[in-house]
Amino acid sequence: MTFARLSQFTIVVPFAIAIYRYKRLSVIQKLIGLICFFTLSTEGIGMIIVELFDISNNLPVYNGFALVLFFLINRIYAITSQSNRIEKRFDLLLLSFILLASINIFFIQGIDSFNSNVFSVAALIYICLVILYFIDLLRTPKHLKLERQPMFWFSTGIIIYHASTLILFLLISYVIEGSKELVRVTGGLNAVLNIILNAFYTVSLSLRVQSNQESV
Amino acid sequence: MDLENTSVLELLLVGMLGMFVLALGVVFFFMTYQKRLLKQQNDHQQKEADYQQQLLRANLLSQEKERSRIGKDLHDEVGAMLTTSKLYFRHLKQDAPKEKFSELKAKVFDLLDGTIASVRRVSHDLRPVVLETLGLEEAIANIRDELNTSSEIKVEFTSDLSGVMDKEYQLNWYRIIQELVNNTLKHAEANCIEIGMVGKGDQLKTTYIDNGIGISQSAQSKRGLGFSNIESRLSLMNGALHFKESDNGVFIELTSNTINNLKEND
Repeated sequence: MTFARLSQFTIVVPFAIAIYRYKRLSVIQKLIGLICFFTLSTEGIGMIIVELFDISNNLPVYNGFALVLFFLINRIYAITSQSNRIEKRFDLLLLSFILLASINIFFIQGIDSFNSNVFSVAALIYICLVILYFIDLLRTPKHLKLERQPMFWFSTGIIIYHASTLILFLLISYVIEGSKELVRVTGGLNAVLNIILNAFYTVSLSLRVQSNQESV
Repeated sequence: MDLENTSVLELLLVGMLGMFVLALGVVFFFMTYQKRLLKQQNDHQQKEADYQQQLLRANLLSQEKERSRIGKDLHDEVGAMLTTSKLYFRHLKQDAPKEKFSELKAKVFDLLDGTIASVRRVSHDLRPVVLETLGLEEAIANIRDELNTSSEIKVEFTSDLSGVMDKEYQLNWYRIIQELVNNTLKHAEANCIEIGMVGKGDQLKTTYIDNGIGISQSAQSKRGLGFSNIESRLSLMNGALHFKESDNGVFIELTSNTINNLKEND
């Protein structure tokens, strides 16, 4: 088993925690749990397609996963948003992204190739959502201990992973056309970042949200 | 690896590392700033709690002082007079000479009158009758009249209250004015006091001015029992106290938001 394959399945850890603590999870934590579920399912289905059905191209699964992931992250930040006025903008953002992704899948890059445009735009949006969330936190009248907030850990994981992999997704076509060494190195870097992301998911799912906290 | 691949790899490594460091920087900056805000919030809450405790302590101390004074008044005046009356009653015998009987009766009546006056005074201190029956303006006017009668100090009082205030608030304001006047009489060495009250809408503003020796900046910030009591009463009415600049004496502005309690006359 390669390091990259191993890193993919570290998602099992936060998923198992989500299952174990399901009844005690907050709404946001349940959505994070769903992200873990879909990530695990995507990796599993991707592996089954390649290993069992001997189909070399499992990229359509990952392209579909990008849409599901965007939906879930969009919902998480919509719920976390302090203002009801902004919630409609999240719906608009979601619809716009789905439209963009559909156009990209059917008319630009196609479903069988890695939709780097979709992944890059999604990464940029995630970074903006995290920064807006941080700004929102600073503006709230009542400040809370960050280490007790699942949303803080989740957002930290999201911004670290997607900021770091943004360049990779933008240059993915060069990587794929490049040498095996290039693919190996970039795969390794992505694997490390994946482990970091899953570690942050794990922390956010492990936290116990007290009823008197204003966090979700 | 050829040159192109090396360039792409270098670009990727630098780009990814740079973005990784940038992301960490954003998170670290946010954490530091948020910790600072949390500390400020906690400090503010602690100061608020300390202040409330100080007000409560001043309130309790004031209550005990008042109880002690009432107890002393009752013991020294009422108690003593009743005891003396009882002694006179012992000597009141039906077969005593008429003159002695009349003399003793007169003394007992004098003592009982004195006792009634003392009880009235103690009772008035506990709950002023003028305030109960005629309202705040009349009660303060009563203070003014009593002091003006003494001719040691001249008190002016103007008011423009356009509503009926809740009884609890009236009592609070009465006590505040009493406290301010007592402070002036005890410490200020003043011979003139001006009190002005203006009530409009949901705001009541009172100005208190005397021409005494004034209060130093340090004394203003170090609240004595009297001012702590005033602040405590004002805080119950969402009010505030401000010391204004004055050439001589004291100029205090007191406000309270009495939006729930200033009812317009029908």
